[in-house]
Amino acid sequence: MTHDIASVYERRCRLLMRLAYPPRFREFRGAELLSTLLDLAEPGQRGPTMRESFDMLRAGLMLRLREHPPPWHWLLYRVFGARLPWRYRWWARDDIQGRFFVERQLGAIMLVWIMYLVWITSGLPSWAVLVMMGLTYLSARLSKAGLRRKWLAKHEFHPDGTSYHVRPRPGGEATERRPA
Amino acid sequence: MALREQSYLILLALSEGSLHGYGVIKAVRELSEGQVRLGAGTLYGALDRLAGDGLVIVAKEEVVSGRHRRYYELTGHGRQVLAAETTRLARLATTAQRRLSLQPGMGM
Repeated sequence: MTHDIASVYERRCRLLMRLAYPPRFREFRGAELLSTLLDLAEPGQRGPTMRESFDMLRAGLMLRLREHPPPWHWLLYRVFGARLPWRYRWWARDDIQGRFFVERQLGAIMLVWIMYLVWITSGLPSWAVLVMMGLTYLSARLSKAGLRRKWLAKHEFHPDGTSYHVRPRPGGEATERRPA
Repeated sequence: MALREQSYLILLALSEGSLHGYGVIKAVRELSEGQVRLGAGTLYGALDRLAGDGLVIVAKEEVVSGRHRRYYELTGHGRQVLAAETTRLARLATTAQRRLSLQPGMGM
């Protein structure tokens, strides 16, 4: 495989990995998975095959489902800011560091409290409701960095997303155990 | 504990010593006579599950020609489960052959 084709192949593999897998997986398994994909490449191949792409997308989806917190924990976390159980803290880290974190939080809060919000704003003109919503969104956006820092600390992560504790290597343990 | 075919083949591939991801894919293809072609996504999902069940562990890691290699090997428990599953499959195959040989026109 020439250098150009190899780099095109590698770039496409990286793109596929970004689509298929969450950051926590790519961080700990990315280099290994990419090496295996490079080993699997036929001479002159410019990208992963359809079969390989589908396989990775499916595996990534299964991983996301497997590692997603149960509905009850998810709701407490999303609406009331509760800390997730230890085994879901890497999911929480990706969620907190992901795009539209503030929007996801506000959206879930509004959905849960919608009846109450409708009731307290029922006497107000629609422009006032819109201004209130806009101000709430703006203040949440402005305090995003602090909010992220606080939520990361709650799940025992530094502000840059690194863990307080060393994570066991993949393949060693399926779930991270809380240090004694 | 009945294993999925893919998990069984991965354990069988690791029975002769530690292998990295691509090595497992090649070994599984050979063992299944080309019938099972593991994708990289399926392989790592299966390895995670097998590690979670305590059947495989990471033996070592190294970087060869810029490629990250992580080698997996069977645990003692993994070897026991593999042996038990092999015995079960052998018994099943014997039963199947006996039943088929009783069918008219299917003499074996």
